[in-house]
Amino acid sequence: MNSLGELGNVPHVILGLYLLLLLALGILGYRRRQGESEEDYYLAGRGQGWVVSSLTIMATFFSSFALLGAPGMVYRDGVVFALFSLNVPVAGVAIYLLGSRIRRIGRDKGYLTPADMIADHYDSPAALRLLVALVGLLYAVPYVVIQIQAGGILSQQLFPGTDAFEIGACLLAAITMVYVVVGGMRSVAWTDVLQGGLLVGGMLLAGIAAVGVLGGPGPFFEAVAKLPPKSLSAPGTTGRWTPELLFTASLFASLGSMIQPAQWMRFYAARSNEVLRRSALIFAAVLTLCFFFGVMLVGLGGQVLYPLVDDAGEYRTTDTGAVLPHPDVGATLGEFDQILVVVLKNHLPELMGPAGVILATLVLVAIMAAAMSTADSNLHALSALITHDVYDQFVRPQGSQRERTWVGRALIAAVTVLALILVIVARRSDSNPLGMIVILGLLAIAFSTQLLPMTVDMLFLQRGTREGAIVGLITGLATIFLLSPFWSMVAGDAFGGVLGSMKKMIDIGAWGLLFNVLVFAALSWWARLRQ
Amino acid sequence: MKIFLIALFLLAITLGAGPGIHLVNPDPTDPGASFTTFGLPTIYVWGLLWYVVQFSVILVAYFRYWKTDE
Repeated sequence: MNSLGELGNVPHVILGLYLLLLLALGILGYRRRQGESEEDYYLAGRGQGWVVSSLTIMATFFSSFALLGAPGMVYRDGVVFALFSLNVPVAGVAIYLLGSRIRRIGRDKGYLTPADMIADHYDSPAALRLLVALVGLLYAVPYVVIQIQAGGILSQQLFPGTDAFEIGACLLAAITMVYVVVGGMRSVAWTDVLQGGLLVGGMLLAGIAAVGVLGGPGPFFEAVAKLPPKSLSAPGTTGRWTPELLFTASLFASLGSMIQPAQWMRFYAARSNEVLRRSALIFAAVLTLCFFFGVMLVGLGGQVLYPLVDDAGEYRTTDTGAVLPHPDVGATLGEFDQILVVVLKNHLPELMGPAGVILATLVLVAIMAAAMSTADSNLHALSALITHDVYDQFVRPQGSQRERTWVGRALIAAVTVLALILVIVARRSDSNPLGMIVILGLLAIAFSTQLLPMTVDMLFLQRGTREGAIVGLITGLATIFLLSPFWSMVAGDAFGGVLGSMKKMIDIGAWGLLFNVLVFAALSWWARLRQ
Repeated sequence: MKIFLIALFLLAITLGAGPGIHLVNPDPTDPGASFTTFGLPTIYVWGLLWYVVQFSVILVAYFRYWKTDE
């Protein structure tokens, strides 16, 4: 049987060339900088055209969540999770409807971060600025962690050996950190162009490969039709994806992802309205198809090739009854995410020989591209949030532009190292608390979704007040904290019954949003009444 | 027309990835249930159908309502 190892160093060479290209783009971004200003480092001088903008928005949106997490979730729960693809057109519409207004106001007033606009609109230079920066942090840190984790998973499958996971995670973190530190937004956007193209191609290739491995579309869907009934219906194998939960996750995941700090700053960086209009259309058309006809098919093909049920038709489960992947895919709950890599690695070289090895390597490079393009955008945004919203405002307002960009660079290095340590420590603990990519990703998005009421009010309604915005946001964040795994770590099983029922009904981001909106509207109405 | 497009888009997401799934979702405990349509999983076909509706709305909005100027 052919395997990736049999083509000698071809996979290593392709991966090495790709990483060198990224570093070169990082250096090029540095050389093209226009002075040492925050606006240039964080927004590339607000001059991005539609090709760069659409690809950097796509690359930031699509992460290892899409290339590892989504097929992993379809592999676990079946076809129902493929419907999550319908969140992408909603995100596309948000690029135009929210993005074009954010861009115009940002350009007119010289804003750099989301907190600039929100704090200014609600006249809250300290409380709201810090709260919005905190939301950005709560989104960006888990997202960076997920991407570094993906680098480890990839390495573990590609180059099995001692510490393969740790080496892969370190490599991805180090190279991403270097080109973000060196070139800022310009490098991030240019590398995103390369990575965006790779990940779109990789997602489609992965789907084609999965269908090809099973003999083409006809045999593929014949085999899929014979999967266990739970895999072909809602709420799926584990019973998680009720239509109501799927609906709220799809709707708010798209909106939450589009108003997270890295995307918000891409709206500021766009050259014109037309740039965002075109980006929205390309996004809705291309990315949804990549999901439906690409990675989602890998999850379904994975269930055929590596069944979740044994010969007796029984699901393999843990002692607590949780469904486990096929032993060839993984032995723990978090290893469903490996299905894409396992299918490519074990079947494509066998089917196509050397061409299959190269094809598989290209898709695996696309996974790396997806992870790096999201990690770089979030590291870059995180640096802007802490430097501009905290350091510049409260620590050293008198600091020069040069000092600020260097503080930003140091922060990127520090956050990367911290995220890397978190990934490795979690990996080595008995029960990896980071779990599956989709679950952690949806938690991060739930936090950023809490900016939605203020964003909509600020851009369209203009009826909210400062008190309403502050208390509403705190209420939303507190609700998510209560419904997240952090609560049970702190308070054990307190309110476990009620909270457990709530989590099964709708997405936790939607719960946070519901309470956030209610409090925001009620307090704003009360404040207006008093005036 | 604008209101119609907004309503249609919201309907597409509600039916495609939301409670509308109940309309076509086969019962996994029913031995006689059919899980496929045109040879594909029924709920996958359902999702594709509503994607076509979503994208059609976006196309109309792109050419008729989304402004190219400032």
